[in-house]
Amino acid sequence: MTNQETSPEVSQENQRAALLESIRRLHARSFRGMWAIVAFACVSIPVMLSDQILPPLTPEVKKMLGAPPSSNMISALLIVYAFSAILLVLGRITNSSPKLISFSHIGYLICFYAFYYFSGVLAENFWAVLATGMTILSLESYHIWSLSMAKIREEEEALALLERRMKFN
Amino acid sequence: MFQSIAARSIIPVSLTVTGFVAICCLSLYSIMKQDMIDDAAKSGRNIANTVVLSTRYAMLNNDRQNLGNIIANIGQQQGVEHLRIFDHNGFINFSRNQSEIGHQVNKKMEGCSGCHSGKKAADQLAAEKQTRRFVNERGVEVLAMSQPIYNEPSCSNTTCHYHPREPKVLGMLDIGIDQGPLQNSLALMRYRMIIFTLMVLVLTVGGVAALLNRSFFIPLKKLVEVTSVAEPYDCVKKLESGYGEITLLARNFHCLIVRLNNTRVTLEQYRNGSKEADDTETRLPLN
Repeated sequence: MTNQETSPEVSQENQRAALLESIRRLHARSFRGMWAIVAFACVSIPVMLSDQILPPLTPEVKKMLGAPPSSNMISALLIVYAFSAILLVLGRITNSSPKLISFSHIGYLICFYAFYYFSGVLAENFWAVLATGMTILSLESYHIWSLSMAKIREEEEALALLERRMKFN
Repeated sequence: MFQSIAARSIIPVSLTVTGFVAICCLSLYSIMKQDMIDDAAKSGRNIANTVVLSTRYAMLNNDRQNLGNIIANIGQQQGVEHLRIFDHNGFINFSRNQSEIGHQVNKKMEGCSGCHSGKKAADQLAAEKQTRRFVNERGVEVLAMSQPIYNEPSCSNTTCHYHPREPKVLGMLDIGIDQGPLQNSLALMRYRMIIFTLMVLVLTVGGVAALLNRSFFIPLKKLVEVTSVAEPYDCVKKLESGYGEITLLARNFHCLIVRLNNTRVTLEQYRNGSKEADDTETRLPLN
C-alpha cells in the first residue's frame, strides 16, 4: 500500500531531476561554440606574433619541406573552404540539425596558417584566415546556442508543468 | 532579444554575408598586393639587367671612369635607393654612394645568403631569390635586386683584360628601389576596398533586413497584436488585407473566434431553454 502511494511521487521526483539535469547539460552545450571561438583566438594570437616568436625557417628546413604551394593557390583554397563550410552550417541551420560544433575546423584553419607560414606570406594572409575562422565558428556557435535555448525553453515548460502536478498531488 | 524571429533571421544572414565578403576582400587584397610586388620585382630585375648591359662595354674595356659615371647617373634616378657593383669577394667597386666604395658587404645578409648559404657559393640563382625586401637605415622600404655579372669568354680572352677563366661569377650588381609609391598605391587600394566592402555590406544586410521587415516582421507584429487578447471570444479586431499568407492566417483565426462565439451563444440558448422547460414542468399541477 505504501509502495503504491510513494511510487508516483518518486517517479515525478526522478523526472524533475532528469529535466533539471537536461537543462544543465543544454546550458553547458549552448556555450560550446564560445569555447571553440576562444580556442581559435588563443591559437591565432601566437600566429599573429609569429614574426617575433617563431624563428625564420632555415634553408635546410626549406629544402627538406620542398617547394611550398603558391600563396594565390592557398588563398583560392581558403575561399573554397570558407564557402563550403558556411554552406554546410547554413544547411544545418535550415534543418535544425542538433550536430555539435566541430572543433575540426580549428585544425583546418591551423593548416592554413601553417601553409601560409611555410610559403612566407603569413603576415599578408593572417587576417583572411582569422576572418574565415571567426565567421564559420560564430555561425556554428549561434546555431548551437539558439537550438539549445529553444530546447531549454521546452524543458523549462515541461518542468513547470511537472512542478504544478507535484504541487497538486 | 536574440531568440526573436527577427534576430534568428537577420543574424545568420548578416554573419554569412559580412564574413564571406570580408574573407574574399582580404584574400583578394593579399593576392593583388603579391601580384603588384611581383610586378615591381620583375620591373626591378629588368632595370638591373639594363644596367648590367649598359655597363658591359665599359667593363670589357676596363673603363672604370665611364663605369663609375654610368652607375652615378642611373643611381640619381628618382626611386633608386642604392646602386652598387661589388666583386666576387664582396668588395664594393662602384656605387652611387661614394662613401661605401671599398667596403665589403656581409655575405650573411639576406640578399647574399641565397648563393652563400652552403659551403660553396651557388653559380645560378632563381629569379625570385634575387629579390629581397627590407627597411634601410633611412626608414625607407626597399625592394632590392641582385643581378650576377657572369664571366664570359670575352672577359678572359681579350688581351686588355685580366679575368681568369675559372670563376663563373665575376661580381654582382645590387640595385634597391624605393617601395614608397607602391605602398601608397596599396594603401589607396586598401581604403577603396574597405569603403566598397562597407557599402556592399550595408546594402546587402540593410536590404535583406528591410525586405524581411516589410514582408514579414510588420505583418507578424500586427498578427500578434490582433490575436493577443485576454478572452478569445472578445476578439473583434481584424487584420487588413495586403499581407498575403499572414492576412489569411488572421482571417482563419477570426473565423475560429466567430464559430466559437456562435457555439457559445447556441450553448447558452440551449441551457436557458432547458432551464425554462424544467421550470414549466415544476409549475404544472400534478394529477
